[in-house]
Amino acid sequence: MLTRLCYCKAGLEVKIAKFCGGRGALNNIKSLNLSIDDSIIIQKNENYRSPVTIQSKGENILVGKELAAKIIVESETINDILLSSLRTGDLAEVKNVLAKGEIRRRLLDMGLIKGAILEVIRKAPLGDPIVVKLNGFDLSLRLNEAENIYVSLKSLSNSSSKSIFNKLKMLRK
Amino acid sequence: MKLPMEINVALAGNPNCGKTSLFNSIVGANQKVGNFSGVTVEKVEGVTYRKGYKITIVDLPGTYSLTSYSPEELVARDYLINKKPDVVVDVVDTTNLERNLLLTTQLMNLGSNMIVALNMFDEADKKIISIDIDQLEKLLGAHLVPTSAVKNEGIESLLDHIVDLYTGEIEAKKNKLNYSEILEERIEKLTKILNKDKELSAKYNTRWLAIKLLVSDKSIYNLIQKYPVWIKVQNYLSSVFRDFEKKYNSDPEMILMEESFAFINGALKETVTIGQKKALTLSEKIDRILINRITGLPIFAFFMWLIFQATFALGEVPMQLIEIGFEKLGMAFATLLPDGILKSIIVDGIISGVGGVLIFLPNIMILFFALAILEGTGYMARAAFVIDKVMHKFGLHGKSFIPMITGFGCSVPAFMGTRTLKSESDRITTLLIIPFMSCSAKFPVYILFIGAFFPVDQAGNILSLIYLLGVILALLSAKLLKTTVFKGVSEPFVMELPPYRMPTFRSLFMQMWMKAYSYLRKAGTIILLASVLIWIASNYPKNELINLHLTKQVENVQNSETLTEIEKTSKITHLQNQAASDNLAFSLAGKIGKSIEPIISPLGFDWRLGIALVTGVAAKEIVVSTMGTIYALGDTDEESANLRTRLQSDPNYNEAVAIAFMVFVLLYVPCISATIVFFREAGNIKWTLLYLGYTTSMSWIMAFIAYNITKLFI
Ligand SMILES: Nc1nc2c(ncn2[C@@H]2O[C@H](COP(=O)(O)OP(=O)(O)O)[C@@H](O)[C@H]2O)c(=O)[nH]1
Repeated sequence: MLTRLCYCKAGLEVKIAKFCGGRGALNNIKSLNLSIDDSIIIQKNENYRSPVTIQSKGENILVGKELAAKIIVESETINDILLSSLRTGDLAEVKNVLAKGEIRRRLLDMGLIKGAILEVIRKAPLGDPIVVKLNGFDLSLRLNEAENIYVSLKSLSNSSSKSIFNKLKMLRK
Repeated sequence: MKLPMEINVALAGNPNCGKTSLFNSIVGANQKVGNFSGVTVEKVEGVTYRKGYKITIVDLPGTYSLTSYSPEELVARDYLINKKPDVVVDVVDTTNLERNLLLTTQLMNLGSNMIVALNMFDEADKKIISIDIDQLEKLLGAHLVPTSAVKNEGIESLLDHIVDLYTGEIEAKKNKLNYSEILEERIEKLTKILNKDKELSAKYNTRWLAIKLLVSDKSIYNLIQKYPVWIKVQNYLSSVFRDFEKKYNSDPEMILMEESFAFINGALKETVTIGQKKALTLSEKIDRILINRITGLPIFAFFMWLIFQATFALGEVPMQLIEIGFEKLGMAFATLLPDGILKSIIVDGIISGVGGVLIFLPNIMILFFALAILEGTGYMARAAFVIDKVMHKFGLHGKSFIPMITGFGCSVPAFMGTRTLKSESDRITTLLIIPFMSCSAKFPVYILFIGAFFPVDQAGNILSLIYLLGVILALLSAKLLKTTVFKGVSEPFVMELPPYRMPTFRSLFMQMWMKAYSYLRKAGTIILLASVLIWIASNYPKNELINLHLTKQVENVQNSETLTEIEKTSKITHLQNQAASDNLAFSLAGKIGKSIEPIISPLGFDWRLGIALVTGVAAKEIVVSTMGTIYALGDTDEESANLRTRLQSDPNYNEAVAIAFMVFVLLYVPCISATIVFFREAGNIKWTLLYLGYTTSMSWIMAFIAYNITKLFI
């Protein structure tokens, strides 16, 4: 199944399927000497901010989280990730809610239970909180709270987040 | 006492389901606001009549669920359990049944006599193809009544259902929400244990208690602990939790919620056919502009600016009318009444006191109209969403922002605005820091002192520094409060962004009116009393000698042969001003001002500034005019050159004193009106004492520091 490099946990071996993003991102990827169909092994991928360490062609490379999100890979196993690391537009299923006490209660009341399907639809102008769509309504929560929820990827967003700019570019071409 | 022809109804429902609008449609202006006993959760009660019955409706706070975490939920739940209303109307947003029905399932567990109002049915009509109402009624165990609060549809049918259900004209539908075997087995066992206690089973629905125990509800734990069955209950519960952990790797709470949602989804699948969904709803389109990453903040800033301007710039017009009106009224009474104490109490004490209460009304009404628009359209949640990251850095909630900036205008509406904050700790913290946002009444003090002691080119900088100091202290205080007094009370930010909707004018108007009314009734009377007392304190006791002396001297001047008429008038004015100054110094306020001199002298203040600070407790506008009176200058304002030169030439004063005084005025206790409103909003004396102590000590400390630092530079 297709997933994003930034979603893969350490130890997985994956194959690069495609790149998304603008010209800048593609240039950055090229400068890392990564190309489609390369097999890579994820060495380290910790919280949702620090870079991902991968091994490609026998070499260890650091890939920033933003860039890693733009590298789409083919992987046999899909591991659970934190809701806070989910990219805008991706669809995922809730696997577990780790929060305790009041926060847990609130999350459950809003329908964040095992099996619920959600989509991150936007982030606040300052990056936190985020808005997820579930059960037909929009719920906003802080990254802090989203860090308590494990989800598993169902499908990748089909439009790139910079769709307006891309469309403009296409028009010019 | 309840009359036989009276029906008690409670309105329950999620936030944003249109409950307030529905309530307003049902009872109209026939409503009053109070508090639920012991907490600062607003209780709105209304009355209507139908088929000869008097129907009393209590609008419970909007909640997603009936757990015991927030005061709103506790209040709603306690009301349902203890007051046992005859009929519970569960208002649901028909366009979002998946989430709204969760509360319905909890009401089912409570076994309430329930009617479900399918509100926003007008909108649902467009989206949903059909609802099999009969079948859904069976599943939910309640009568369903489609309503539309904005179109005023279904209201009569709802009232008919309430009466008929009460009289037994229509049969109550009851359905128990059955969980899976693994839960039911435990619920039954627990119910049996609880039933052994006769007192408990007579008072409560024991199945409901059992369910609440399984989901680890704290307040139910506390309740059962008082009964002897607790030991058995406790033993059984711990074995259940161990069991769930081992067998299902989960806990009863999670499983129960999963099953509740499964029940809801099952019921909806069976009864509701959803029409084709549009690719993008209107709300999504609006959100793409209003809260997008680039335009989100500027648009937010613009709306905040607009609210502030409307409240204070637009509010200025009616405020001036009120001021002039009361001045005229005072003059009219002054000519009617004979001279003497009574006249002075009525004219200067009571009439100007009433004016002082009403003067806040325009601000309050405009602000609450604006807040009602924000809440009603759905932008309020977005505003909190946009600014939350910044506010959260200081331990605050995104919604604290509006009351805080309102504080730059006036603390009274700002304090009242904290009602939009649901959590107690967020609300109290915001209340406590609002006084540091420099209100507009303090502005003349800054102008006077900056004008007297600093060159024009520095004035702007110093003024900005004063305001900035207030903001910084406010934010740091928030952080401090959140890490000490409210330590460990972490408020989650889990909030629905409701679809954009058009609020009705009636609902906006009602909300504004109820606020104004409750201000007048709850705070207004005390403010009036307090301002009369303060007025008395600054005018009494009187020293007859001063007045005798004045009369004699005025006579001397008038009889003088050498003076021209013009010289005479100026001399007399001077004598009168001197007498006013002496009177003030002799009054209670003057004596207090003098007696605090030892406390304020480390800040460089003399007794004159002390008196100005004491009278400033009545209203900050008075600080400057008190200075004028003390210097025997008669009526003065901040622009008056006389007062400025007097300050400059006074050897006691210099730049350091000026800075310290401005800092002190910035931070010390707000006026008496604000303090009374604070007490109303905070709900108890403990917070009010903290507020008085905190602002006073903060102002002293900061003024002391400011004084000594500035002294180094001059
Ligand atoms: N279309 C439609 N809108 C409604 C209805 N009831 C309420 N609204 C709107 O929904 C918004 C929220 O309503 P409000 O009464 O403040 O909700 P509350 O939070 O439940 O008290 C307002 O803009 C109302 O005008 C309804 O029956 N139909």
